[in-house]
Amino acid sequence: MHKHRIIYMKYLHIIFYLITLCAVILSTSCVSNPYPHGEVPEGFALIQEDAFETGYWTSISPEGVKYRLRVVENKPLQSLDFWSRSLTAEMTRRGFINKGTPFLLDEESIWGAEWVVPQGSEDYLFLTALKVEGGNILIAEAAGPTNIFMEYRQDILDALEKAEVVEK
Amino acid sequence: MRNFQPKVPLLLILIFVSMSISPQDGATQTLSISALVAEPAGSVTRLVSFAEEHGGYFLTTTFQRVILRLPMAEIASFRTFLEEEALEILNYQQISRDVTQEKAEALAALSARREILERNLEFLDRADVNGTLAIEREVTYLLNEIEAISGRILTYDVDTKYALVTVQLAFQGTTLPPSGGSSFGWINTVDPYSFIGGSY
Repeated sequence: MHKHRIIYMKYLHIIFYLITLCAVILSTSCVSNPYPHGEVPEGFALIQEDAFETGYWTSISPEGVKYRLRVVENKPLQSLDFWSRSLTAEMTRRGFINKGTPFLLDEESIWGAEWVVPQGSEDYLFLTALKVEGGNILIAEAAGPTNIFMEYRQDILDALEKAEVVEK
Repeated sequence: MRNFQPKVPLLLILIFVSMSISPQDGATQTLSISALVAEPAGSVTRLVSFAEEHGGYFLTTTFQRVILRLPMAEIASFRTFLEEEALEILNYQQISRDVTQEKAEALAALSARREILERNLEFLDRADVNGTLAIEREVTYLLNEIEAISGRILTYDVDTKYALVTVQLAFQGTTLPPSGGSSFGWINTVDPYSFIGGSY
């Protein structure tokens, strides 16, 4: 009995080490790593699908209209209404003009707005859309020369409804 | 030979022409407008379409400027259209000028020169060599003058029929304030210029 006790004491530090290791592994696996995922708009090509590593999910049209998804932490924890108003205030302060009126998609879970951006001798349209998913905010951005962007606008909006935050 | 004396028929023509053109018919309208728009390129296209649909035409279009000719009767509807198209009309200046007198004088001058031309041509048959050369010089001079005056009258006709409209289109804030003004970090990362010009 005494002999067994000595063996137990001898290996106690190893047991303790193993328990700690298991705890670290478990805790690491529980920490979520959110990244964006979406559907490629009609006529676009997916050029950046390693969102888990880069944080960006990007697709592009033959003419260069870009559609990108990314995820940021919803910190401080706020609603879609709060963030949409904050973004609008900042874009307006910077002098950008809203084209049309902001829109809501997917049962009002996605808020979006389009901004006119002068670029050289051309007018670009810059779309921003937000979706709040718990502790994350999914940000969608798309831009291109106005006339070309308008050709893809509906395809982008359709794809926008399929955009999501994936937790790994 | 160039210093001709006005005759009674010429004065009568002058009086007749003055009476036949009412001040309203002889007024030109020049509009100089500055407007703030969301997208100048699109607005230029729509302004040109408006002019063409309402019996006018465009003279010049650039990225932020358009010069139109509009029928006088369409000025009011154009103003309404512009108020809908623009975010704000920064400047709207309408200048009216009565060219009745100028046109009447041009018509009288034209008539007089034509009369002298006819008389010169009548002399041509009876003139010797030196006289023929002198008459030819005079005829050339008169033809040039008649052409110039006819052109001026044509311009008066266009000016009194169509208003000249110059629209200067402007953007809000030609120099944009810097980004980074939001208290929330991620909002400052929403930058259209970086997105358009940057990598993926």
